[in-house]
Amino acid sequence: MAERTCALGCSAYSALKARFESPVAAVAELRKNGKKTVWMFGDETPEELIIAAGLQPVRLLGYYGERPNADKYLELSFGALWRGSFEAIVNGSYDGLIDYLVMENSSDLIQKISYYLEAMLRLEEDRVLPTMAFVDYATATKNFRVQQRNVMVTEKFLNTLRSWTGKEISNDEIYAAIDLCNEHRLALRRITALRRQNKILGSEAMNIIGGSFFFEKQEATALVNAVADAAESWEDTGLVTAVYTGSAQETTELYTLIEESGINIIADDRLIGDRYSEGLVRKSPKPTTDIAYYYHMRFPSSERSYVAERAVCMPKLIEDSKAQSYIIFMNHNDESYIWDYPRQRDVLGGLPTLMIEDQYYPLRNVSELKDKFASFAEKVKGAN
Amino acid sequence: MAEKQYETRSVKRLNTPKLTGAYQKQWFMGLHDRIEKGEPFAFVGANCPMELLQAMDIPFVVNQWWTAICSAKQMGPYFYDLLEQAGYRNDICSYCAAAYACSLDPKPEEGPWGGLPAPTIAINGEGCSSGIKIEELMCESFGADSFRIQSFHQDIITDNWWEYSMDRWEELVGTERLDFYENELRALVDFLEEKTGRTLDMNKLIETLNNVNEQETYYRKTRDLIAKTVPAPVTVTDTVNAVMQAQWHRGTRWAVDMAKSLYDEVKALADEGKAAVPNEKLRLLWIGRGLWFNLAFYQHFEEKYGAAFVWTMYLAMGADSYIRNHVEENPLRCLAARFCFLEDVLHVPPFNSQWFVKEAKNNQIDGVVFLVPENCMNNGDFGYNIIQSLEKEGFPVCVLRADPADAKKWSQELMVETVEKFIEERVIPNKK
Ligand code: SF4
Repeated sequence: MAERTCALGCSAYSALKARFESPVAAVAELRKNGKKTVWMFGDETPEELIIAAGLQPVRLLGYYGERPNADKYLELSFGALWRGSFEAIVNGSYDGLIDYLVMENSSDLIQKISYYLEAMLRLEEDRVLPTMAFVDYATATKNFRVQQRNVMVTEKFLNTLRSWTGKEISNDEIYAAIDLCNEHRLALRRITALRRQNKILGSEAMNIIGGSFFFEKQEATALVNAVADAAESWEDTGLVTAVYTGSAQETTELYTLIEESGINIIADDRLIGDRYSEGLVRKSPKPTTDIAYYYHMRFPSSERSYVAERAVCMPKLIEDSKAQSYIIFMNHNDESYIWDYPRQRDVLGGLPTLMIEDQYYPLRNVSELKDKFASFAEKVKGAN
Repeated sequence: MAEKQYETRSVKRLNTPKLTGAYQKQWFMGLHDRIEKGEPFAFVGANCPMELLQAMDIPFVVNQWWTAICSAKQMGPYFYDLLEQAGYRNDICSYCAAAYACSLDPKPEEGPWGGLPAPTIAINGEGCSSGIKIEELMCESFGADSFRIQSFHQDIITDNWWEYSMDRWEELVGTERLDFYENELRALVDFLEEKTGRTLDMNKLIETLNNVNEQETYYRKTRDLIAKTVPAPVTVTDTVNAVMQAQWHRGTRWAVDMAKSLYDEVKALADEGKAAVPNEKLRLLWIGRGLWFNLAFYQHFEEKYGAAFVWTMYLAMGADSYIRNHVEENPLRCLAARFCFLEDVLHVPPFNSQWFVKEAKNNQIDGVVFLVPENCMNNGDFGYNIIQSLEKEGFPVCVLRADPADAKKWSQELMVETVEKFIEERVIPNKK
């Protein structure tokens, strides 16, 4: 489905979309605020602390073009998403725009890339990379022992930020940053609600959420609220609905293709989606505990969770969103979802489900994919 | 089962592998009896501190080694098809999924050595996205209680790690990381005591760890002997099983005896000037998991080229990365310093690349064959750096992409052709 005029006619939407579509230009724009920039690579990076430190968090998006560095340095086991992220870090397109790079343990492959980058710095004399840190959260196992570890990791990261900025970071500054981020999450949840009413396309939601990563939080929140206000009166998309899981999408290409085939993704479990705004960071006398707890306990990503947990939360997401179908889309070598699915299938009963494996960037056989989605849309219509 | 058009069993030249193989089989048969009598039984990942289990006399099977047994018995294809029948895929994660597949087997007793008994407990590291799910599914399927050891990022990168690992391990691993892992081990001991009703005796743990050091010292001597002896008295096919099987029981006197027996045999051959490949002209180093279903592959190149595979990680890891001295000062910390670093040696650059280069030099290597597992989504050792580092030092590298566990996916013809081409086009010209 082509982008709708109601969305394009909304200036807040267009501003968000423009930043999401051109992240390099967006970071250049952001730097005008005079703050040093921190790239966040990993879904569970505690941006509250980065903001509290007076730094500007920037979400790392992959590079969508030729990826010669990824092809040179990475094994084939790194799927399309990781290849894009690595390429963006090393190909020079962000030169001079990024001061720090924070990698986080939301996938083993990020950890591996962190080791590779450290090694490249040691081995290649002329290699220039931002100053790096690793936030070693463990999120799969939900128990007190792991929670304590995550508190320790949070405090360690706070100390890293102190050493980078040379300043103390007070609890009050952390609370203020938590407030900013929570308000932003609340604004994005309005988008989540409108998606579920089928008033916002999945691709539009990506532009809104992804674009908001490239503004200062307050401005981003204002823009998202402005879009939500406008979207209240947007028309129903008229498409059949689906929940998406699988390889993270960082451009709207796939969602648009799905929409053109007659399906709207109204909920998903990805960061540039519902997951980012799920839950709020609470505020207790020890904010590092609150932050650790939030990132530990939020909606389980497939990369860092158990089959049993996902067999509860994915059907619940589908039920809550009232989606008519379920799509699992996997890049080649990003296929851990296959271990989740049989159990979910048992829980979901006869819900129409489409599982697509072994995909690459750029997408191969686009027309074949489109046919698959289109015939799936017909099946969903038939089932409803 | 896949039909084989080629010889997969290697020719056995030593007695020690026969002894370890026979013992292993007997031990496994005895395991069924012990479990029937109500003893606990643990299933663990290869990167787990199994010395604790040894010290508490809790029998255990190691996940990846069980895969190796299934693979060597040519049962991989059967098990992976069971996964497919259950709605999974048969072409992915073969190295980690064999035990789960066994749990789905309607005729488990027909598995290797009477089949894998249902474990009562499982211990795993925090693996990759697929690994934690496969282990979870396996535990559920068998009804095992599970303990997961968290991992902790290695921040400290030290050149020439092997110069630190025996005595200066606190510097190598780092105090913060060691504190963390020591706590993990304490939590694991609590878990084991609660689940098995057994109590860890610190003196027994010290004895176990000292036995490990003694055992690995024999591997060190064996590795060094092979490295300096040209032509080599043995090749990898002579040593891998003897080492793997005894490593499984590391910490016991039997394992020390087997390590000594291996050394004595290799030394006797070296003293007599006997060569595994009498016309040895080339020495090859194998990086990656062992080709358990086809150990004969390593011997294929001996006759035609006089090319001897003299090195795999199995013996060399024992030699360089297991020994941790100063056991008595704090046995748990000492154990933590061993097990948390085992994976780093293989997967974290430049620990791995520096070590391979050092070993290639010491073992007088002419060429390197690097097996990259094709169906592991978590494979990532910075292979580029490994290859560059070796090539820069004059060691040509051949990359083989294959499934190390599933015989059905192995193309003997293609792999032989690839290595032959490599020997002819890169190794022989480089040697001249
Ligand atoms: S991706 Fe690799 S390490 Fe992970 S479970 Fe699969 S085979 Fe094992």
